[in-house]
Amino acid sequence: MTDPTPDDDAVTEAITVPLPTPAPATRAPAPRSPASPEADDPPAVGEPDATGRELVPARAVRPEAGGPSPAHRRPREASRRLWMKVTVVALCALLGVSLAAQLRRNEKDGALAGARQEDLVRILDELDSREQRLRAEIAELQERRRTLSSAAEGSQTVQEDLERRSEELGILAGTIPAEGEGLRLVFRPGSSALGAELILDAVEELRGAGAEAMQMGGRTGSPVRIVAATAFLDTENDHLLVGNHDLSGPYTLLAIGDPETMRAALAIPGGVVDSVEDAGGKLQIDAPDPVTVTATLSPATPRYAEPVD
Amino acid sequence: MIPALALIVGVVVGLVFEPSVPTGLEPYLPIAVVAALDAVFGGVRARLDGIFDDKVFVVSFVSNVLVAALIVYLGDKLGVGGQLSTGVVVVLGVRIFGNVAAIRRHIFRA
Repeated sequence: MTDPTPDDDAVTEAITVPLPTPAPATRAPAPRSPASPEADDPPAVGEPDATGRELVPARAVRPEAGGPSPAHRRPREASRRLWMKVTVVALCALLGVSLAAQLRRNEKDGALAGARQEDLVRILDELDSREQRLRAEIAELQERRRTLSSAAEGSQTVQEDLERRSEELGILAGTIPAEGEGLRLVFRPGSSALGAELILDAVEELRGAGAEAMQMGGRTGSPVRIVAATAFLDTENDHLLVGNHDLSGPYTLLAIGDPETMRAALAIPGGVVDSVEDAGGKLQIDAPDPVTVTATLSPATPRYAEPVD
Repeated sequence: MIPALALIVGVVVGLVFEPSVPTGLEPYLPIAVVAALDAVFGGVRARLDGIFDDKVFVVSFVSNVLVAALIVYLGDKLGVGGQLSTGVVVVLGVRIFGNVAAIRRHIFRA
């Protein structure tokens, strides 16, 4: 870099030197004359205008000043010109470096690093207000989420409520199986069969004592769930028709409820136990734990009744 | 020719070594670069006109950069830095366009 510089400089000097020395008088006005007709953009062309103007006195002065001692002037002049050229080169290199640095900086950290204070304040303000907007939005969304989840919780409780109620109703209506503490009554007929009236009495007595779910089974025939609408009928072959199921003795009646209360209710004088003994049969009562009522009824769809809102 | 080579070498050096810009100069560097570009285009035009002078170039380059930076600095102090630097860039841009137009006329005769 340093080696070629003087050579090239010599070359450029060789080119530029002829300009001032041989014909300073003709050269100086020469650029001026084309500059003025060409000056359709005079305000923008401050640069060359300035150069032109500054050149004229420089060239004009030089011959006068160089008159007394041109031999002394020339080497100093030459070294000064060399220095100027070096400065020009250095400035161009500096411009290149800063141009590249600026380009790098701009593409690296965006506009923020070079932004001035007021712009940064404005950007900060915008970010602040945006943050506030977003925070408000977050709060709103959280509130909505809370509402929705609490509503979901509410609907869940409602659903649990409904399920529990439907289970209760299902047990009462006999549509679902049930288990719990209770009594098992076995009606063993004596010489004559036990009538439907007697069984119905026993059922009513148990119901009165708080039986919640009951089922009736026989030696033959599948067990029958006993609900409010269950009918008891004697048949001709001494069987019992319970809710359209034909049962034969001995009959087993399962009742879920408070065992003590029901036992007491059955044992009152003139009650179920006495009646069964009067009829020549035998009532065997025990309390297995748990009593399981497995028989169910299919729910009857009401044809005429409609719920009142 | 040499200055043009120096410019290219400078760009390459800047791209390769990524010099860090001093924080205090950061706001003024872009304006200074534009001002220097204006000086360079003016120099190219003067060269084509045959009136190029190293001293004038050096003086105009340095003064352009300093004045541009000074204006922006003053604007910053007065609270109109943004507007003033926009104004400086516009003025320098107009000058660059004028110089480039002159250069174009020289090269293409059009």
